[in-house]
Amino acid sequence: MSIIFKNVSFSYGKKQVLKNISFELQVGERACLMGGSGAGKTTILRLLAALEKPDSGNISGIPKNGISFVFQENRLLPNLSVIDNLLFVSPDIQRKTFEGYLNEVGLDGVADMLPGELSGGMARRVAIVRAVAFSSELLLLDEPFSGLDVETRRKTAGFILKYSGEKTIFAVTHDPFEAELLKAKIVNIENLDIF
Amino acid sequence: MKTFIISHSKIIIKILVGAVWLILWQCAYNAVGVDLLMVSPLTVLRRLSVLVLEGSFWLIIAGSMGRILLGFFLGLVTGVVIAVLTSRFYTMYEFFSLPLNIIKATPVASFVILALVWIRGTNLSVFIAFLMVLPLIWSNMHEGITKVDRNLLEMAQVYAVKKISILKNITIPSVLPYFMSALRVGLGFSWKAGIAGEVIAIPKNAIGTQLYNSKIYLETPDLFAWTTVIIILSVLIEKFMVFIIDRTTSRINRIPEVSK
Repeated sequence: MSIIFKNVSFSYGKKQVLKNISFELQVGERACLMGGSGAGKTTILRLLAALEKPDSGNISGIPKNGISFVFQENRLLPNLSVIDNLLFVSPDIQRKTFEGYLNEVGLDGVADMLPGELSGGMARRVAIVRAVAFSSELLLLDEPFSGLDVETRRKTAGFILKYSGEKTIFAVTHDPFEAELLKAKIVNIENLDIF
Repeated sequence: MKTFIISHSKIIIKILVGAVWLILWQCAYNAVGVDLLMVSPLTVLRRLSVLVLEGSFWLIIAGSMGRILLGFFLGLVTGVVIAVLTSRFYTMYEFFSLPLNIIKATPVASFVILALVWIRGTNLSVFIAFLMVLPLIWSNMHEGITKVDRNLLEMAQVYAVKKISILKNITIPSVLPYFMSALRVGLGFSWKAGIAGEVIAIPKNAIGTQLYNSKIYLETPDLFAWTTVIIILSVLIEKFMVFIIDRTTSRINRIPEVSK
């Protein structure tokens, strides 16, 4: 079953952010949404994650078996170690498995560190590992590679593709190179009804 | 080694500061020169050493502590429950914030005299301690709960994290500093207000009653000795509570609920 946005409009107070947006996302599809700042890209992700409700229109086909979300901010719990942050959302995954994932994104030996001890780029990768490892059908990525150098972007994108399995991936980015890394089709927010 | 030296030098400084204040107290005593108005630290110590050997001393302490701590805990529990409600429902906030802010702004003495009309002397300090600590706990806890990081709560919601895990890993760590601060201030406040209530209500087996009697019978050494007891108990109770909370919270953080 595909995810369908039909004539969705959304406002923050009096400011209209989305007006009659329609698109369809096939199961297992990978898409990168591009567009200028303030165009409503993050809002679309928040609507998909059911963190906001549309003012009008319909959103259907949101998977019931979980959504993973790499937010614009890393949103790691400051009082928990990296491993406990990962176990906080996926308590059924073994510590060793997580350590393997961390190694794959170049984060060996950080499992017991606190988020405050990590650089921005390291914390970003932890947030990505958390989202990819979580058992879900839809993976939402909001500027996933911000703060990462080119080589780390490649490595992290490889990790996402390797472990996201059948997940539908919907990313927001400014950089077409990132869409290329994720092997995703590029869609401009101005032309959303072309999906 | 360095930490050991620093902590030892801190203790030495504390002892020296204490000694300086005792010397200043002795100087003040010498300057006043009238035992009725001021007693020396040595006299207080002597009077205390006599008091502690009397059976009634411990009965009085137990009586005051029991009543005031009961009032404090009632205020603590009620304050937390109201804070949960006011942080969740705006109507509840409007409903409770007005009376609680009025209580906060009202002088202790007004409440003591007013409460004397309704409540028997023995229970007055329970009520006063309760009333004084309630708005303090409520305002701190309300602020703490409303300042829990919304981004983290949202993240936990998206990942369908269990409520108990959210409470343990997000809400409690965030609210704890506010709770600790309320506890420290509230304990001292309820202790002092409770004793003030006892001074006016004069119940049996109460430190406040002893203070009142000292004043009536011009027993200045007793007045100073009981005041010293109040200060020592206040510090000890606070330290004990902070110790218990530290132990509890460190145990909460050690529960391997999310660690495997």
